Amino acid sequence: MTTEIRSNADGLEFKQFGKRYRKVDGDDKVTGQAVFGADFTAKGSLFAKIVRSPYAHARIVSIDTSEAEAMAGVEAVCTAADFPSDVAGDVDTGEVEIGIQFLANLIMGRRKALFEGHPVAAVAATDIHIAEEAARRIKIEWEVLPAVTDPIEAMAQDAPLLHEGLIATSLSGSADAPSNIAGHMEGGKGDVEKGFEESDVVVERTYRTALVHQGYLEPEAETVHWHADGRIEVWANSQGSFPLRQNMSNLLGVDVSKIKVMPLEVGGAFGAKNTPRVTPIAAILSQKAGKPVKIVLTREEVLKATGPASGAVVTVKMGATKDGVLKAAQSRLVFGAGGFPGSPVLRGMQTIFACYQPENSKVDAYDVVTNAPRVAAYRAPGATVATFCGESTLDDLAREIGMDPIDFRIKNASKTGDSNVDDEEYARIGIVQMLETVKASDEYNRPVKASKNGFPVGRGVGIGWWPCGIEISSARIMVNHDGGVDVTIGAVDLHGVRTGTAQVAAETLGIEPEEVYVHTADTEGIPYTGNAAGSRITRTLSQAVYKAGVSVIDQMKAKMAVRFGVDAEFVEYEGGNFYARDNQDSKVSFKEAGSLVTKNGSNIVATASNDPGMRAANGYAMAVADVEVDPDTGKVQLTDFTLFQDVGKCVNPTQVESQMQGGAVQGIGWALSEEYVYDDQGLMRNASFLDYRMPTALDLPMINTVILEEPADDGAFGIRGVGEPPIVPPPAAIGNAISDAVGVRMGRLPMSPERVFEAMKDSSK
Amino acid sequence: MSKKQIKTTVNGVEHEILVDSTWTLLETLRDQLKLTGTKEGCSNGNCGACTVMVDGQSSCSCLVLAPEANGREITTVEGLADHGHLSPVQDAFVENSGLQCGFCTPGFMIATTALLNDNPHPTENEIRLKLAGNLCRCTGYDKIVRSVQDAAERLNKA
Amino acid sequence: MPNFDYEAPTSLMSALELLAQPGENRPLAGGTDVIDQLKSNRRNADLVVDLKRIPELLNIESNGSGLHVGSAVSCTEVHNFTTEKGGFAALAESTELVGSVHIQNRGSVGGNVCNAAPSADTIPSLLIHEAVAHTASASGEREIPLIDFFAGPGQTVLEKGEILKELVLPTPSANTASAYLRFIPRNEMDIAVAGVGSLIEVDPSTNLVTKARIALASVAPTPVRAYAAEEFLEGTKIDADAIDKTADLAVGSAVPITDVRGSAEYRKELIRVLTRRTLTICLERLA
Repeated sequence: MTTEIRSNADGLEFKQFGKRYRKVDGDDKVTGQAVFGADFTAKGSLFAKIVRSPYAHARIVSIDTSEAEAMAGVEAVCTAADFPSDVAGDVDTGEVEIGIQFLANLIMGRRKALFEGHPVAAVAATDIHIAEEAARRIKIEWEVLPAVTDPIEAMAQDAPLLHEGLIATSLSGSADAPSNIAGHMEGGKGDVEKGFEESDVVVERTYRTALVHQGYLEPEAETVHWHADGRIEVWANSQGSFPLRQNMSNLLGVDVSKIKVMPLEVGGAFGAKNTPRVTPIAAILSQKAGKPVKIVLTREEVLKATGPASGAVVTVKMGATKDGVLKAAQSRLVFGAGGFPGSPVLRGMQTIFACYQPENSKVDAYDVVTNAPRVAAYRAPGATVATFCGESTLDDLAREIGMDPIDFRIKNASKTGDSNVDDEEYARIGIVQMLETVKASDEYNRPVKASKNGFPVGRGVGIGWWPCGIEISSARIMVNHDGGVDVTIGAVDLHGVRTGTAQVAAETLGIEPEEVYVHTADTEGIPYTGNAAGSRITRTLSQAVYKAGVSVIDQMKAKMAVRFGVDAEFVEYEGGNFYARDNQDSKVSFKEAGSLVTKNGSNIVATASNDPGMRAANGYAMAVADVEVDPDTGKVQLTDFTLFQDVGKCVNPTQVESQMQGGAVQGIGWALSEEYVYDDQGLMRNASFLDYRMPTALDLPMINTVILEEPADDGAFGIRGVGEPPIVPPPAAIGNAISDAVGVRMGRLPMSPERVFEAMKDSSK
Repeated sequence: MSKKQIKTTVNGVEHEILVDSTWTLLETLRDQLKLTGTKEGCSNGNCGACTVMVDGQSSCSCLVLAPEANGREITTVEGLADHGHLSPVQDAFVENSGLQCGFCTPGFMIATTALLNDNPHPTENEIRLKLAGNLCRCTGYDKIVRSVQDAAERLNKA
Repeated sequence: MPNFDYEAPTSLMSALELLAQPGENRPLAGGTDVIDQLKSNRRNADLVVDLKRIPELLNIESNGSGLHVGSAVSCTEVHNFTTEKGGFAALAESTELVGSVHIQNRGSVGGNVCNAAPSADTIPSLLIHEAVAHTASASGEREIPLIDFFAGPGQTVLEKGEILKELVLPTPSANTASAYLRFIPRNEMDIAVAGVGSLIEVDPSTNLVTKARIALASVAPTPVRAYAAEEFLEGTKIDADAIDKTADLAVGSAVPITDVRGSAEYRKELIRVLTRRTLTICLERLA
């Protein structure tokens, strides 16, 4: 028997796609019944507090835990000495990777603290308040060292050295001496000098951006129980149960098969909760105490000492002819990685000119360590910063040539089959189609609404691209005795995967989503599924669900053949019904058939994973932003905002819109108000939601969305990655809108009121 | 440590409990009464995840001491549904997808319920103003505002 | 959190007796500042005395001697009362700006005053109305003009065991208008980078300003009055030009610092802008 696998969605109609189904996990969440990490307490659990460095850079001279250990109620204390020291193996931390030795050191500092808040010890006690008091009684002797938080300063020869053995690697070999530069990567093609010579107009600018945090509302909270028999149970607050399991195995020296990870609801992650941070500490404490240990971080700990996104210094130079040919594009990107190497500067390099085909290009990327928390993935890591810099420069270039900004982009846009700055060929993409759609749109063409305050107004656009990723997703479909269907997945549901999966299963099985029940299993309940990251869950999971669904139908056909008294090849399944060919009267619905078959003792079960060779389907989005700027204070108010995004094939418009809106608003906060502020000792001055300013409902207009569909090439109904592209273009669009409104080009993020005010003052001199 | 015996009504049920003077209402609800629907997001009144009603007024429970609840009526997210039937506010949020991860949602349930109790016909700007104390990082607030508008309509029809 | 005891007396007398005891005794109204400070160990306490069961501290009324705001009355209640009553527009506006609606429901205006942050949003509005702080302690009562109430950032002139009982604001004449504006990077939730409350009284027969009061937030160790600006404006026929000059003079009363929320220069500029804007609003309100 063969079944047709739909690999390309062009022109095909999908009954269950494009439908807005009620969010399946909604009821538990609006009633407060959904269980998040801090809501779960294992029987007999201890509560732990982490001891952190108060200094941005310091050598640990000694740690005296005796007073803490002597306290009543304290049952375990740990330092780096309690962790395995010779760790090996790969770790999977999602889109921003880290070497395992560095990760171990990040989780619990061994010889040095490399940022304020770096964990150096932890205490578990019967009560959290006892643990907090015990943590205060741990005596640490420090040798305080000078700190450096700025990546350019960190590159200087005489900068404080974070790692004695860190030698920069680059195409030309290794550096002569250790420094804070971890790596220098290069890319590009042709001869940019020649390209600039051939240009009629050249624009060059240097931009500076600050660290920002993913801002998930739920602080990390996890429980680990290391049993006496060596088994480890983890109630996790993680984006990937299986990667966490593997990471724990490598970090703790315990077999994967002995570790069970049970995912709880995750209160936002956006890439950051792929890095095991709290679980290994809870595990070691649990091992020492012989009881489950629960750790819940405070907001201050989250801001100071989890994994924000890199701050950067980026120089961009672009040249074009009068008729709009992009002759040369060059960039030098310097990203701060925090205390250990591995910023997403390579991604910055990959994305900065991704939407265009400059005749000549050169990109230099520097990964630099700084005394700041080691960065983690944040929705399209590296792309938002790179795109702000690239698009701001391109916008200026278009204006200087005198060409419409979208026409200029269309003229130089990347198309299917073109290649990127690192020579990778684009699979099917519709960037030109998206640009043309925006160009023709009402949002782009209607006049900018006049300001009620009489302030200057303006409009800007920005386009961003993200490669998206591929991981393994698995799904198991079972038919129940009532003919209803169970779909078990391994993917942690961050935003609504369960709802979309129900639709895909319903589509494949020819039934309604209401008859499908989806749940996420722990690591014992389903085969391997990678991190819910890289915008790839819907895409890969759809293929896995599709394959499992096809198998289920085949199994049912075989069973129904017996009932119909025909050979299996003569059983049809169409319109939700099984029937023997040429005998319409024999029609039996899926539900009835499922019930009949399973009640008779046959199990209908199918498990499948997506093809590992499946290609990623790039995502790209374009933002149109209208602003008004208070000329007396520099305050920028976003008055209208629309995000256009190509999602390939839209399964659930509500879910897609939700991702678009959420990501866009994170980009808006990145553009206007969010930043880490450090003093000259490397200490964070705004580690609370009072002064780390994320947008509130009052700061924003409605976030309009337009969903485009240029199906991706292969494997999964044409679905593209959805989650990440939305965050990429907003700062660029807003920067361009400010330029349109008041004629100043902002070279720093965030474009906070005082900075805009100063820029306006400087430009009027 | 000073302990206080208090009588407080939570979601219509009277509790007589011994609390420490230094506990917050938030931790009392979560750890003592096991009502974990109300969340801790920031510990200092800047995010609204811990919003409950105290005598009908929305308040950040992380900034209320446990003994202050003595003699007061507290409403948490667990008290909004009626024997399992979602309130119009709750139902409107699910229907309109005014939530994704759900962590900020209990706070928004209380804030919205309080807002509509006070002002049954809020404008979009009034909604945004009264919800400015509740941070959401997943939705961008668009569908939250629409959920509140829908909830207002449902309540006004009823 | 320090280890403190908690009491909730039901009479002012018992509260004052508790507060007079040796040790660090902290009065508690809405708690939105105090509890945050205790949690982060920025303030200490041996005893917390909850004032919210004391009837006279929860009372707000307007009578012959003016507007009386009990020190434990919440921002929300003050906002609703002054919005309905009229005459105190700046105060009505300020009380809707303190934090979020959840903070306003609990946080009291009296507490905002006693917390004495230079950035407090309600204080300029109270200053321009020439509020008087009525205090009480076990040893007696005092009346302190609010402008004399502040000693430094976070410091009042209250002595140990002394609390703010109520704020009394004389009822303004019919020809008075007031306004409060602050500047923050977002639209809510932030601490004021700068704030200005303005009040003018104009004689309708001459069109001259008979009273001008301008108070500034976040630009000095305490909230301050812009006396030079007030003196200039009084006696003038208020127009756009006069407003501009007044605004320039108000800047002279600002001695801001540079901190994580803004630079000194920027704050001075904001004072100019906010003074101009609040005076313009006052003019519009009088029309």
